[in-house]
Amino acid sequence: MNIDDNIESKRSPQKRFSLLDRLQETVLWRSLFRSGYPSTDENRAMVMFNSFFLHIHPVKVKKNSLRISYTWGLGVISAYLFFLLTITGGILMFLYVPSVDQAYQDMQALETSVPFGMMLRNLHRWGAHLMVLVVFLHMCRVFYTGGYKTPREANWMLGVLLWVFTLLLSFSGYLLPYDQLSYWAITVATNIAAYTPILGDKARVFLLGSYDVGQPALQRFYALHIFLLPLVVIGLMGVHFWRVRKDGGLSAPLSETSGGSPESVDPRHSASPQTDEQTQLFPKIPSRTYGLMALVKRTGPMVEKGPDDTVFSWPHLMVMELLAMLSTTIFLLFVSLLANAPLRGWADPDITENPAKAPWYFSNLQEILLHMSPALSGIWIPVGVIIALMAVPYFERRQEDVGIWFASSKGREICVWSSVYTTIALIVLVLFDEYIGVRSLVSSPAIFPEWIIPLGTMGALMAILYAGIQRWQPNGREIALAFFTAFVTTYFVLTISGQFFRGIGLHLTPVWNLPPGGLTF
Amino acid sequence: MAAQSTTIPLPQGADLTRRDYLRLSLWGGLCIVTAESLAATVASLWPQVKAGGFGSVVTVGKAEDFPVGSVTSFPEARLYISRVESGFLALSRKCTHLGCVVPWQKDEPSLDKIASQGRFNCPCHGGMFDRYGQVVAGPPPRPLDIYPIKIEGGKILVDTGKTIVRVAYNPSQAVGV
Ligand code: HEM
Ligand code: FES
Repeated sequence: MNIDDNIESKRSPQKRFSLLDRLQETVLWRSLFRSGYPSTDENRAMVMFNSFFLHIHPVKVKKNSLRISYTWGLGVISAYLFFLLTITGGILMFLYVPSVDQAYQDMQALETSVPFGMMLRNLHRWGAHLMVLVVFLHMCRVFYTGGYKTPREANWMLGVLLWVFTLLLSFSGYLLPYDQLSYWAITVATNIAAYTPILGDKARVFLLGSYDVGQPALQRFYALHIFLLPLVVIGLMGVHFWRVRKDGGLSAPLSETSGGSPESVDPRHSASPQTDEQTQLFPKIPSRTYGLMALVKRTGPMVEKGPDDTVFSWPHLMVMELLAMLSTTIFLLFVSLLANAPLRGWADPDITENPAKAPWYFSNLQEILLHMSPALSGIWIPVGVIIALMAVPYFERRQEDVGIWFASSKGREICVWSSVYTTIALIVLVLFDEYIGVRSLVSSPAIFPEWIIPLGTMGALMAILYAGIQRWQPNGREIALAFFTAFVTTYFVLTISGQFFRGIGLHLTPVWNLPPGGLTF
Repeated sequence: MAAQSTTIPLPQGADLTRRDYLRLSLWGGLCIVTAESLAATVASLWPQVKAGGFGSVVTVGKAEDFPVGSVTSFPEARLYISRVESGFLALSRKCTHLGCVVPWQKDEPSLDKIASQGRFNCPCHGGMFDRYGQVVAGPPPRPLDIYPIKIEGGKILVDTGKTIVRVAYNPSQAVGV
């Protein structure tokens, strides 16, 4: 509050008005900004209402929403990275032709002759990777703080879609340099699409625009990458932000949103049915002191808490957001100065590089491809995971632990147990399949190594997980925590093994023995 | 399609009011237009190409030039000629798992009894094939595809336009001299 007091004192008659003060009195300023510099509470509110760019924020936010250790700023960073990628991508479009003859040369030109071309490429490439990572971490934070619970179920589903589209966006860009890495990654991925039920190879041909990766494929992926997918993501992001507001701002522990009764969080889920017409129009909200439209969930001061639990978005939220963006920018610049985006040889349909590895964020999928049918690992498991994630908030509906990391100390223990258990199980499985090999034990009928054994193993592992956590007598939330943790651990461990421990012919190789080009970014 | 006058029978006792009728035609029309637009979009983006665009009959050489156990690459035809005991196989070089090009490794230990060295190693997911194109290790679901071969006047002709998908190797696939 000290800073604000200083600004306040500038206006006192003893001091001379600065140029900025005078500027703020001009008709031009007033027409552009309507209110003066947000140094009074009134102006702090007005700036949020009146500015197009700020109006997605509420006037006041819960203190909890500003705690770094609550959100880690991950949502804002995701959005900011998307913005950075749009800008750098837009500049790249001036310097790149999506043609199999020209694309690769344009990449080389960026690296050698275009001023700051390498930097531009690095920012776009590393920014994309960072976004994939940050969006995933954001999903984890929302899960572990219970941010998906009523009334935020739909926003969680939107979020899962955003995650999927972020991956698609990143992957569609992967073909554009048209080097060996691009060519074979897209070849393998589109061959997985050939396992799509009903459509089969038609799906692959439609994606590629031909029977192999070539000019039509490059053009299709380009259109997807620079237009269609960003359009979808922008749309989804818009609704996502809007829902954050409409769902009552960020989630927070019940103790901070109300007197502690779940009903007061969301009147529509109130236990006592409203009968007379009046309460239907204006539902009772016991915990709110004021709020113009009781129909709209919003950040309002609470009866027991008083207005102190919320603070003005200007400057508190603005400062946090700026800090998040600034540190992201600095970090990304650093990475882009230190490491160059890879560019392998020109795409050669005659030679597949060995090893031919997927980009790191798909190396977990590539890892499971090694052990089962491509239809199972490339289609059914990803689809299953997406559906399961989307379904979580419809099965796990306890309100008590919203806003509390890992729900309880019990929840914490369960998460640790689940991740240790999953890690050990996965390492054993990967080693087993490499050195003994399911296929060498049971090779026919093929349905055994391809489907039955992998599915059976996964089922058994989940059953053991479920049995293993019983000694904590877990509630629904804690069971969900155990399974989500198993998913995140699997994602992580398989990414590590696929990326750092697979060498020539994708055989297990320690990271220090990987051949040149063994890591794929 | 021949024009046909059809009457849509209403269930007994159902009465369609003017309002219902209009509402139905509005939503129905909207659905139809959306479906049509989607279908038209897919149709316009449907690739106008035929399988095996490179597919024509290729002469790969004289039969006597391929000793038993030899595997010869023909990059422009995208195939290998593998000479096994009973004849010739024209093996597609595309891995049957997910489409990587399988290189012939002439110095690696053999996986068949014809010779002591040489096999196909897929770089993508560790698939391995022998001279017959049979899967010996890794995830590929079936042997390498083959192309029909004809031998005319001592020359080997391969029809690269027709891919033969096989479930397993059997000696009849190899074309004798
Ligand atoms: C392009 C990707 C995404 C962007 C730009 C984005 C952005 C945001 C932002 C700015 C917030 C505000 C709170 C915060 O910073 O944590 C938020 C909240 C939220 N996000 Fe995302 N998000 C993305 C992806 C996801 C994903 C993948 C999920 C989950 C599957 C998700 C689910 C949610 C939910 C449920 C909330 C409300 C959380 C709460 O109230 O505690 N979002 N998102
Ligand atoms: S593409 Fe050959 S093993 Fe997967």
